[in-house]
Amino acid sequence: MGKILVCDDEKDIVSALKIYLNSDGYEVVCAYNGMEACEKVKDGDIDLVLLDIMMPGMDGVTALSRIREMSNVPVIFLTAKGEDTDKVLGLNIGADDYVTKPFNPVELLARVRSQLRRYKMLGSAVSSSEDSGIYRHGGIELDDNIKKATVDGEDVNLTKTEYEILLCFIKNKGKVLSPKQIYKDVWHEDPYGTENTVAVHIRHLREKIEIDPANPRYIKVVWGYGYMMEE
Amino acid sequence: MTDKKNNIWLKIVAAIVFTASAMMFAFSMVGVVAASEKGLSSRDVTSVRKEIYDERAMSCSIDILSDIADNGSLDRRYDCAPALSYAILESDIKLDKDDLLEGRYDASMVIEGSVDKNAIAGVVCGMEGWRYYNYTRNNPLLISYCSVELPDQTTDYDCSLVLMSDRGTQYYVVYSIDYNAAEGTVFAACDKVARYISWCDANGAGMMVISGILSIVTFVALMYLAKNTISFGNKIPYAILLTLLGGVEAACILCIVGAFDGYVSFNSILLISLAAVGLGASFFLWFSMNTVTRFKARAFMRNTLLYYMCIPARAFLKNLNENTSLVVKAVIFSAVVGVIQLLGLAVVASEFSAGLFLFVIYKAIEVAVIIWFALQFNRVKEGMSLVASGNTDATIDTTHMLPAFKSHAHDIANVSEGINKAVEERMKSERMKTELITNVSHDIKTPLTSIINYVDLMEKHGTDDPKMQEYLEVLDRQSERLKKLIEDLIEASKASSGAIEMNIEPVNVSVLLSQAAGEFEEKLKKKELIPVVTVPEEEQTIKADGRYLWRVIDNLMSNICKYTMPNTRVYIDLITKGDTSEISFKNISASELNISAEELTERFVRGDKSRNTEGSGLGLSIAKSLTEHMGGTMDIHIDGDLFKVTLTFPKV
Repeated sequence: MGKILVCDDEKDIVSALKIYLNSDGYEVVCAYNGMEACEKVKDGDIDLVLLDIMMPGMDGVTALSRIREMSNVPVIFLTAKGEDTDKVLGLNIGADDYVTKPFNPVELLARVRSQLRRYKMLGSAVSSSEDSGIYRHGGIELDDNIKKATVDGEDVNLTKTEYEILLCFIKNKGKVLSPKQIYKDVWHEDPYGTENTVAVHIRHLREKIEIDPANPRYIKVVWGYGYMMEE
Repeated sequence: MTDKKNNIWLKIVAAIVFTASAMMFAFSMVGVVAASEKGLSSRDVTSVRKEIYDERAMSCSIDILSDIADNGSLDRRYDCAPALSYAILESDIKLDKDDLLEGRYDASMVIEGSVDKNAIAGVVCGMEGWRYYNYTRNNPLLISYCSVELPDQTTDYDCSLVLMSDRGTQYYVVYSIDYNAAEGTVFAACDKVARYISWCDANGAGMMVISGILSIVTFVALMYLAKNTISFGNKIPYAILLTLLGGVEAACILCIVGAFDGYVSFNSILLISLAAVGLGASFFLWFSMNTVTRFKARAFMRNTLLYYMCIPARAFLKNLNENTSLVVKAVIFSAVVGVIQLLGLAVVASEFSAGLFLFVIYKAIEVAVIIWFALQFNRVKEGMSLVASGNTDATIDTTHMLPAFKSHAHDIANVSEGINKAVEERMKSERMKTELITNVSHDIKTPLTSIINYVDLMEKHGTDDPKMQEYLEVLDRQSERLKKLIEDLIEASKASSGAIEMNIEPVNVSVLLSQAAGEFEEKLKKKELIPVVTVPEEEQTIKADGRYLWRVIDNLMSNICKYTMPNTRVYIDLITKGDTSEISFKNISASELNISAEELTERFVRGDKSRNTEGSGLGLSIAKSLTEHMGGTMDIHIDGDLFKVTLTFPKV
């Protein structure tokens, strides 16, 4: 299914991850510092890297920049630093995702799966065109012809309202939508004390399409204004 | 070093040039003045020489007359033949000038000497007792000039004869000059004088200009070169220096005058005069440089006699100022003012209009002083209130303040500085604490990750033993709780130390509350809680950071879900009060709240005190810190089992 490089200076964490990933059917290569990780990536054939940031010798940030010089393999950072600024830094220097310790194994596996699928799908990406009624954003794909949604290639079962809301977000990428606007767009009528409804639906939607609904990747909450899908 | 040396040599050379040119200037000037005063300008050397001879002869004659007047007889001195020959005549009657000049005098009149009647060069006339006469009239010059009669001049003759005619015996000195026999006689210096005057007449003006310019230039240059640091010479009290200057210059002038008056040779006069001028000029130069140095070093006042005299007085006043309390000073001040007022009263009593005038002046001064005091007090007061309001960087301008106010202002500044330092220390230690907590927490997270993972793996692995199953559940629950605790701990320490960067902007609370309600809908439902949200129809906007306001509301709502008695209503209200908006959360506690509202927001305090339920006990503390950091307030009100939290934020 895929070959995953796990790099962490804590051997117990590496072996735990190995057990999880093996049980999900992945092949696992282990490394215990940045240098080793770089060499293993150089040897080739790695489909995804799980990389700790704070390691003795070469740290994860340096290792990532080395890896990026030779490969665009997906990299998920794995670290105890959980502040927003750390996350932004990690993503800016080329990580594809970010998981904070202590992590939830289920969530981690979901992220690994998602990254792998997107990485593999890139080659066979069908040309996206809104005329043909197909909308794409990140790992989300909406086929408006048959009202079907897939996330990272997996079918997601959405209600009609949830589908409409998602479509509304994809059509308005990069814009903050107020609950009122969303209500008008989806229900086609003026809201009257029904803004809570929108919030509830969006939460449901997030639970279906996000790996960690509390830290959404797609539908972000702009508190006090509304919701937004980032470009 | 070489610069300094060069400077010294430059100064010495300049000083020599200055002195020399000053001497040259004096030398030329005397000649020029003499020439013009004696009417000798633009004349040839021979005629100048004759004039000088004539003058010398006349002054000798006057001396002879003076001797007669003083002693009644002629004594020695003028062994002047053959250059000057003279005869003394005595007459009761007024003699005619022409008679005398033409030698038509009676031989019986001659009391001494003899002059060739055909070679008479001049006549000087005096009279018996004229000295006496002069003294009483106190005008000797008038007489002596009146009695002088020169061959070519007709001036004053009548005047003198009128004056003399009332008197008894008159004396006449009739003299002739041999212009060729100068050496070793009374005319010894005359040739030199004549040459000197002729030379000065021809070249003096030019010399004066050149030496004048030279001396001015060197003087200015020396003033410029004068050092700007004080040494011993510059510390001499200035009054003494001035006296010294006066003394030296007067001595020089006296030397010159004396040389001219004394019967010394022309060469000696010249030498003495030039030496005196040189000394005077160089002393003046030293004095000027000394003065300039004092000004350059800004130490003029400090080295005056007045200043030296003032030192003890000032020391006394300063001592008095420092060692007397404000009360004593006030008493002295009022006493002085009282005396002044009393004097004023006395004036008023004697003369009302003058008193009124004085009163107006007194009042004007008094009002000015009071306003001055008030202004100073105001400055101190403003500074104090700035410090009191927490602006610890406030400074007070103490220029031109009374010492008492000044020291008070300084004390205030010191207090604010102390507070500043304490606040800074406190902030620093808070930051260090936050850093420590964050670092330790990160270190704890790593082993915790392993614990959580392996507990999870054990659960997955499965066990048939129900007891084992139960223990694993406890491990799972507690490790999750530890995780939550660590995360809250980091956040709490950050929130309380202010290490969070806030982005304060208008936030629509109405929208935010509806978003929050949506987020919590399910959790509330699970606890069978019924939310009652009351929001004004108009949308409310407040100043806050949306993300952190959500964290606050998230914490409060999580608490509500955790601690509210099931099957009750939860009230969420948004109210506008003047410039602020209030968001209140009301719920009924499931357990008894035997704790004060203040204690609840302290870290690690929970309502039940047993610490058995989920949660870290940091939620309210984080919420309060974040709210205050955003510029809002959070109040907790407990009334029996009713628990109410109110958030207040400024409206936009």
